[in-house]
Amino acid sequence: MSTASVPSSVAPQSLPKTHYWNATKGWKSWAFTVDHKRIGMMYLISILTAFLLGGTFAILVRLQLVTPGGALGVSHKVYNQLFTLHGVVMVFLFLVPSIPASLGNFFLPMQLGAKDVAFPKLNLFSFYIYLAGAALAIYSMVAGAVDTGWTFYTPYSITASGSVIAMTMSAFILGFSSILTGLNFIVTMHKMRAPGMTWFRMPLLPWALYATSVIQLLATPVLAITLLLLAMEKLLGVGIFDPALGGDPVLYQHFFWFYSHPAVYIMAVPGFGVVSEIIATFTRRAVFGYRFVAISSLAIAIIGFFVWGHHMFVSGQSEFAGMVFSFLSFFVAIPTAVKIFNWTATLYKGSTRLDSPMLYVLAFLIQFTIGGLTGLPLAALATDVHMHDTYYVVAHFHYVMMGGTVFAFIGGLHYWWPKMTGRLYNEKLARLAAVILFVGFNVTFFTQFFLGLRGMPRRYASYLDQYQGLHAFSSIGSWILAVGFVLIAVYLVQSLRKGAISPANPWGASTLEWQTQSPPLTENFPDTPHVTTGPYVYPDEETVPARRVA
Amino acid sequence: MSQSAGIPAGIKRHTVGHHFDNAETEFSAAKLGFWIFLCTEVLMFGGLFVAYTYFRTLMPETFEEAHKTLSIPFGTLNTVVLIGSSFTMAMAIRSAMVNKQKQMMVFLTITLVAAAAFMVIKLGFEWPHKFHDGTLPAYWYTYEGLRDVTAPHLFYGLYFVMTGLHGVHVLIGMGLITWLIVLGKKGRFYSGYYTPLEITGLYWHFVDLVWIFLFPLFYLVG
Amino acid sequence: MAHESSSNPNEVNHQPLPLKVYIGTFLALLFLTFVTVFIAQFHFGEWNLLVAMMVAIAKASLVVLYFMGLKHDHDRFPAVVFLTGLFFLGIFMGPTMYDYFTRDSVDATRGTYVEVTRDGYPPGVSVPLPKGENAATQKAD
Repeated sequence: MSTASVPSSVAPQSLPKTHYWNATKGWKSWAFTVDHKRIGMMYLISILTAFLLGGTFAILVRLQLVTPGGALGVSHKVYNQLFTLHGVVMVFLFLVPSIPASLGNFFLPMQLGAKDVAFPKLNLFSFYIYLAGAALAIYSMVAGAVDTGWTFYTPYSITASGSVIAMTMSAFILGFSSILTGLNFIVTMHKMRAPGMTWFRMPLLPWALYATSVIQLLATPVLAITLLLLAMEKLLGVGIFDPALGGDPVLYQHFFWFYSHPAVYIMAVPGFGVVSEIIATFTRRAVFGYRFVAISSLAIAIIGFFVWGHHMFVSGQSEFAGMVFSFLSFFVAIPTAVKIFNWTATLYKGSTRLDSPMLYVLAFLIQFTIGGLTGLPLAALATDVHMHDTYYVVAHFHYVMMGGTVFAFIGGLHYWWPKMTGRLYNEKLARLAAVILFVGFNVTFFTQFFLGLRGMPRRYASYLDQYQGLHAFSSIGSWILAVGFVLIAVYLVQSLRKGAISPANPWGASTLEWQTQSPPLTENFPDTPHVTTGPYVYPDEETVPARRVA
Repeated sequence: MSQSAGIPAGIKRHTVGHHFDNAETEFSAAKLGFWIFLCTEVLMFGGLFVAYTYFRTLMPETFEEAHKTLSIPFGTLNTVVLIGSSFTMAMAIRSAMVNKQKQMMVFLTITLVAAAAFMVIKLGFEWPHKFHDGTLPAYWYTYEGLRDVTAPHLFYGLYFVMTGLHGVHVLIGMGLITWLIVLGKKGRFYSGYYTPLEITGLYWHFVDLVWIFLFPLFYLVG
Repeated sequence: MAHESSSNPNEVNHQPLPLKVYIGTFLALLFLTFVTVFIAQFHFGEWNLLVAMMVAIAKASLVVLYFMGLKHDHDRFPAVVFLTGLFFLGIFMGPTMYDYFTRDSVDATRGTYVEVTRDGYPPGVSVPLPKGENAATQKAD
């Protein structure tokens, strides 16, 4: 039964007697756990640590750029290392696993009414693979940090000193973690839905995770072979990517971007799922156009595979291939727009409550739209030629990745925090932090559109005097962002010790995970749920007429 | 055809994982999961085939001339050995399904031996010959022949990476088959439970599949 | 393989394919192997590649359908999964090769492959090699 209740105002006195956190004790019960919730928690801690690391590199990068000569005073090579590591850590260690591995692992089985994922031991194995990849990445940073950019373009990456092989093999290993998680999720959704839960009765987060998993499974292996070939180039001199040995560096870019473009959808689509869940709960309405939103995730996943060449317009790719890729790139905007329109329609005349998760979602809607719209001039060949490798691109992808995915992730973290921990955080501080992050983010990155349009190239450690004002303004924004994130960390940790105990369903949400205790039992539900309705049913909802007269 | 014999004594009966409804769901989930994994392997090896296609189109004479230095007899022998091992693997699974455990162990052992033979032919005969001739990737390329084609080391670079990665998969397969033999000796496989056999079988057939394409592309067709 | 409902929920109850299917597939694979090796000794130019690939596809199909059981699996989805993998491999290969083929469409000098030959270096190599005998024989610049 997927029915919501009215948000509970009655606070329980204490946490439930038994839950997944205290069911078994000792470090071994965590190290060898097969409980998807514990694994999700361990992932959460790991990726937040990665976010801290990547964010530190970002702060350093922005510090360098406060003055034209370089305020941080580092050499250009060190600056190159800083932005490379920022990119590598943020993409591979944080964004790719972020929502699927933490929130997805925790809530996919629960939203399906299942006891666990299809392959619990494989799930644990995925986590250890992630840790191994992360360890190798840290080693690589210490042993001689890479300065090639996170894209590792040849031929520089072939001849570069610095532990390129360790860093690329770290990404190779992390890729397997990603693949196995995707595999687990797809089989879980095919085989382990609760009785009565048809495909179109699944909430929208599983649909988004399904699409993400499809992308992970099809794209990540190509990254694996790309990085393996790069390692072979360096070790054996295979030569296929190295013009000095008769190879073709543009081929490397084809290989790299065939993964990396779908990868951005791996990073974005789970965010869409989280946004759908939060919007439904905080407007107390079924998401408008549920089927369209569900299928649009799959459409984005598929179309995203046809467009990788739009990263290569000025690389030496043929003009005709560029035109084809440019044309196809516009199509991916369509299913994305379908989502934005449907979410907006859900907001219209919904019983909207602006609790903190909803604030993040509203910020997402604005910021992701900006990010998406600014992708269009980049998709257009003629304009991209001028904006490629400028700060316009940097601003665009930060709007979708950070303004989009990170905001969705933080919103989801807040939304599901009571369920995962059984505690409520300080709502006032949470709203304050949301506003701080919104201001900080836009100050940092909206500025960069102007920098880019005025010609500021990316990946430059120093710049002409005329750009200083905008750069300094952007760096101030990064400090505001840092304050916001620190604030979030403080009140979330505080809630673990002193937070009010949360009822099972503090938001009055309708999906299955909210119909059981907070924190949940190890086996999730005391009895197997039997599903008879769609996922977003609110009994006190005013029926909205199917058609509106203008 | 042969009916399932009764389950022999000494077989360890299987219990389904707590999160599955029944054994049929568990079995089909395992198979689906592994087919998905094989899909990722298709894309990983496939990337190498894309690189092969690219360079073959770019420099056809290089491939035409260089492939002649590969030994067709050894390649054919390896193909036959691998196809044979695929057959014996399938037969091992079949034996488990009809409760002929001893037959299953024989077939598994033959599969393992065939896999080892494949690696011996490759690493013991083919590759040393190449090291001797100097037909190697660029950093070690010292071959005196092939002086009038473009960049022959690219052919050998692709050859070593593709057959090497395939060889790594054969070694992993040998590990998996050994594990099956160990479990089989403990009486774990029977008509009611043979999922690890099925999954390893799928893996092994895939390894065979990749070789079915590698063999003509490198050995037969310049 | 046929599935019967099992009385014991902890165990499956599957019937294997008839023995002749296994043996027949094996013999067909051997036969096709010898066919492809036999044809390779004749030189038909580019047709060699096409014929070899068609034989390889036939052999691969036999392995996938019979040894791997896709033909008789009552769950259709694994076949969809496998074909999807092949489809997206095609998506990767297509535009990449299209890029290569059209590099010189607008400007004939673009995408021209520059063959490098340098004395004392293997063909196609234009930089000193860090390893191997040739490194020693390369003349200093």
